[in-house]
Amino acid sequence: MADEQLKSEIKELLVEVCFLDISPDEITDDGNLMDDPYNIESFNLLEISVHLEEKYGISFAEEDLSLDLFQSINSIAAYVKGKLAAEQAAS
Amino acid sequence: MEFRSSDAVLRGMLHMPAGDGDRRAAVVICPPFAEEKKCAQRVLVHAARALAQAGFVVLRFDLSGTGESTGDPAAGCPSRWREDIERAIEFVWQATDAHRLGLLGLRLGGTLAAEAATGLQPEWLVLWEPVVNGRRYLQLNVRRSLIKKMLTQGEQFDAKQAAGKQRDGHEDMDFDGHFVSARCQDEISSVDMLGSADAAAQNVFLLGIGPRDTLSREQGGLVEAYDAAGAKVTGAAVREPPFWSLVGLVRGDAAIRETLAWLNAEGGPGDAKPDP
Repeated sequence: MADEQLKSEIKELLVEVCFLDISPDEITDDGNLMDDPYNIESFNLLEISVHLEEKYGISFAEEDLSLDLFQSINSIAAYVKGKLAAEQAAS
Repeated sequence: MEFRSSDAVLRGMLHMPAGDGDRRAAVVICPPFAEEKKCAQRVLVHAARALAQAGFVVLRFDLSGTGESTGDPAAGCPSRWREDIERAIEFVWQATDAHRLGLLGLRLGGTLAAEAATGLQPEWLVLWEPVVNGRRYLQLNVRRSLIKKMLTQGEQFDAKQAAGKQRDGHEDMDFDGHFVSARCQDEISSVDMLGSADAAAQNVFLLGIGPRDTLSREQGGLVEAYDAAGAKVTGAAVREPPFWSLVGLVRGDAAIRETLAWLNAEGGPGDAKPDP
């Protein structure tokens, strides 16, 4: 999947799952999701991980959890892309 | 009010309908567990009041070893909590004029309500985002706990060490201050609502609560399982933040409104709107 499409989908997912009052287009690729104007909180991170797993058929490993992973759209997309590639290689 | 369940004293609140309603229909609210219960408390109180306004006698109570109820937290587990639900219903029969029964369960409380329904055969079984797969529920509770540690410890957080600690030689678990024994984990792990759906309850209402107004695939599968078992089941979903997972001023109005509408359609005592 093209990077831009993946990022776009993740932005839509974030707006939906976190009930953000902004449009997906307003989320920058490198903005810190835990700062203004997104203010993602801890309970959001759990929901985000669950919905990413359901959407992409991946599994978050507990050992992978880090602030860096959830920092931005770029970091989340990189993780998802990596998981998809790993699972494709394994199959 | 309080009543006994085995060696514990269970405490809670009995909401009586206002006015001159016949008070013959009761709903027992089966709460979620641990952090989810803490977060959902306000909504469950709101739901109880709304149901009472609609003409139901409503019992909210804390499961043994939780909240205001006594009992050893280490002894808490689904089989014990199912007994608590049975004692709660006996209390309602003894303390009120009610003889029609509804169970409303949120999350693990929904799972417990569904299991208890097999023996109790309630007229209404309302399942708010029930835990369908126990293993997955435990996994996500571990993840929730790790995320909290991650946010608290910041740069000092070591995911591998923290995750390993959860699994390695620690049979009992700590869900952010809520003790979960190895036995409790085993019982929760064996939860599989898709395999245990039955037609014990006369009317079943499965309500998905989350970012979408459609049921998840898993929830859709649960509706089908109940249907295949011969139950009269309705599935619905409301777009509402998962109030059992967040701390904030959430009222659960959409979930309450849908539930009241369904109860009214299925022969409940009346209808009412959530508190303004």
